Amino acid sequence: MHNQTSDGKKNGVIEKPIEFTKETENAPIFIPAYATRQEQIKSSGYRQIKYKWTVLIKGRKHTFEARLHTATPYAPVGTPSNWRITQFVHGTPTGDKKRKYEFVKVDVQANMWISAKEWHEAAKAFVQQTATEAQSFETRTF
Amino acid sequence: MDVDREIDYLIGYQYRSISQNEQVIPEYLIPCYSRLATIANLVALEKPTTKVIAALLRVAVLDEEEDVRREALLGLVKINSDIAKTALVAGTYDTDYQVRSAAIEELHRIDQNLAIDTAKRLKNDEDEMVRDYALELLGLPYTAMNSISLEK
Repeated sequence: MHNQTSDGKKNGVIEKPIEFTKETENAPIFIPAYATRQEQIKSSGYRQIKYKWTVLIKGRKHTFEARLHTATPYAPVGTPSNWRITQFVHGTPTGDKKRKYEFVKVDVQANMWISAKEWHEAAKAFVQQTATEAQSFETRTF
Repeated sequence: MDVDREIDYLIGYQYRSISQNEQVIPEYLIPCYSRLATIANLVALEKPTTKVIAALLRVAVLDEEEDVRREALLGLVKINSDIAKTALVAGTYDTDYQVRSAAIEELHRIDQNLAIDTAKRLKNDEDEMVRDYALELLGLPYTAMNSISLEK
C-alpha cells in the first residue's frame, strides 16, 4: 500500500510527469526528460554524454544510465554515434545485493538485458578474439 | 600470459590490435574494453606480484574511464584486501557515482567500521544510490528522493 501525500510524494518518492526529449530520441531505450545529463570529452577525442535517472520498480530503486559516445573528430565521415545502456538495481547494506545489467543486442532484431558479468566476459572474449557469435552480438554497440 | 605485456595494455603503453572487429564496437572504445579484459586477466593470476597490484592501483585512481577505475578496484579487493581498503577509500572520492557506489559497498564487505566512517561523508552524496547506501549504513532514514515511481 502506498502512502501518498498532498505534495505528490508516494512512499518518499516524488512523482513527476515523463516527457519526451528531442535530443535522445534515437536512444535504444526511452530517456525521460528529467534524466540528468553530463558531458565529457575523452582524451581520444570522442564525447561521452551520460544520461542518468532513477525509478522505483516493484519497491526497489533502479538507476538507468544511457551513455552516448560520439565519433572521434578523425573518424570517417558518417561514422555514427553509439549508445551503451546500463541498469543498476540498488542494493542495501543489510539485504539486497546491488545488481548491474547491460542492454545488448542478442541478434539483428532483438535486444535484452544481460548481467554485467556476462557482458564483461563477452567484452573480454571479443578483444582477445575468442568471442562466440553470441558474445560478439552482446558487445555490439547500438 | 605475458604479465608485463598485460600491464602495458593496462597502463596504455601498448595497444591491443583487433583484426576482426567488423564494426562490432567503435575503434575508439577498443582500448577501454582492452583494459577491462586485462584487469580480468591479471586478477585471475594465481600469485599476483607487487607490480600487478601497483598497476591496478594506478588505474583505479588515474584511468579516464570510470568502468576501468571501478573494475580495478574490484580486482584489488579480490587479490589483496588490505591494500584494497586504501584504494576503496580513495574510490569513494571518485567523480563518478558508479565508482563511489562500488567503493563503499566493497568497503562495507571487507571493513565495516571503515565503511561506516566513510559513510558519514557520503550521506549527502549527489547520487541517490551512493547516498541511500551510506544513510542505511549509518542507520539513518532515506532523505527525500528524486526517483520516479513506475508502480501503480
